[in-house]
Amino acid sequence: MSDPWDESQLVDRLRDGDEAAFVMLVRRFQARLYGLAYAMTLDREESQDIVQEVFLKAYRHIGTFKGESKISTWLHRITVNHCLNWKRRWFHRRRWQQHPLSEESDQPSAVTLPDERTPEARIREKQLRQHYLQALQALPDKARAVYVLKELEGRSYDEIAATLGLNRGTVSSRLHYARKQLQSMLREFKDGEGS
Amino acid sequence: MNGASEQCNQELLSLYIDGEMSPEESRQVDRHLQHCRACRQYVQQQAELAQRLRREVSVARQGVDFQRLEKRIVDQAGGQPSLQDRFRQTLFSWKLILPAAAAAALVLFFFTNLFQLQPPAASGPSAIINSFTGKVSSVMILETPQSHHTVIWYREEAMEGNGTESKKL
Ligand SMILES: [Zn+2]
Repeated sequence: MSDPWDESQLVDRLRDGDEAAFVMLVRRFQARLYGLAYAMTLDREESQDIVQEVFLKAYRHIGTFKGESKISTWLHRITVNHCLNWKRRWFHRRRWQQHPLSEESDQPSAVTLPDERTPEARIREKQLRQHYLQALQALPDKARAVYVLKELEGRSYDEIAATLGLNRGTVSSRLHYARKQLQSMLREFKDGEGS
Repeated sequence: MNGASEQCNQELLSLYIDGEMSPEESRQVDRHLQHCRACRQYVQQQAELAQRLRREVSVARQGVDFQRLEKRIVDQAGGQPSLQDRFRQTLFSWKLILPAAAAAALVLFFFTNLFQLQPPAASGPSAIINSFTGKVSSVMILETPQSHHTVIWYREEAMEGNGTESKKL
């Protein structure tokens, strides 16, 4: 009760148009929403724009937030919807499909192995990363949304179901599908190496 | 090739990984994993894939100046977007309400004549609205037919009266 920024009070203050509350909301959630947007789009610049649009939408529509779910659930839902809309726009869809990961793949990666590894190992990791990103990108949007909410955000099936308006069974099957696709990519890559 | 048997069920393994099983079901999977290399490998590979996702996201986050992003967001929200948006929306849908606008223009024209308002000097605006307080649910911008007054008509939200304001452009 004494924390002026606990969730219910934060929401009340947002509804009153309290600007400090909005700053707090942005500060608390922007990195998480950015991560979610990035995992959905694999586009670093666009993800910043998406996060901005999500907060502006939340700012304008806080009155429609009923408080039945956590505010993070609400923000996740807006973010996922923005990401899906973003990909539906033809320009981005074309860019996404025709120039997959061109910008991202040149950037330094945390998954690059330490320098003491052999050049072969580094090349292998680079190829594996490329395969991984392509497999992630190739997932159907709906499966990727479930997968990312699970593996990145650690949401429960019920929370994911509430976020995306699905039932638990659909969450479970989409998640299974995403995992199977990614795993078969990994297996193909490793099998390819072995031969 | 991977030694998967008929007992192996990857969808169940997903539930197991996610802690979405009852303790008893979870113990059954534990027992299965003890002697099934394929399923152990599946669980391990899923952990690896999840780790990879988190690393990719973490790398992307490191490239973001979140202070700057926060400022950008807060600055933009500070511009009273709800009012601006409604205004833009109204202008956008203006063509759809032309008949209503024409009717309102006539009413205002007669209203203006009735009170014998003098047309303001043509050299500049008679009034400038620098800011609104309160909420406006719709705005119409009209021009009177003869005197070419611009009329801004707005409806205040949650209030019963209409406000009118006229100025010459
Ligand atoms: Zn098994």
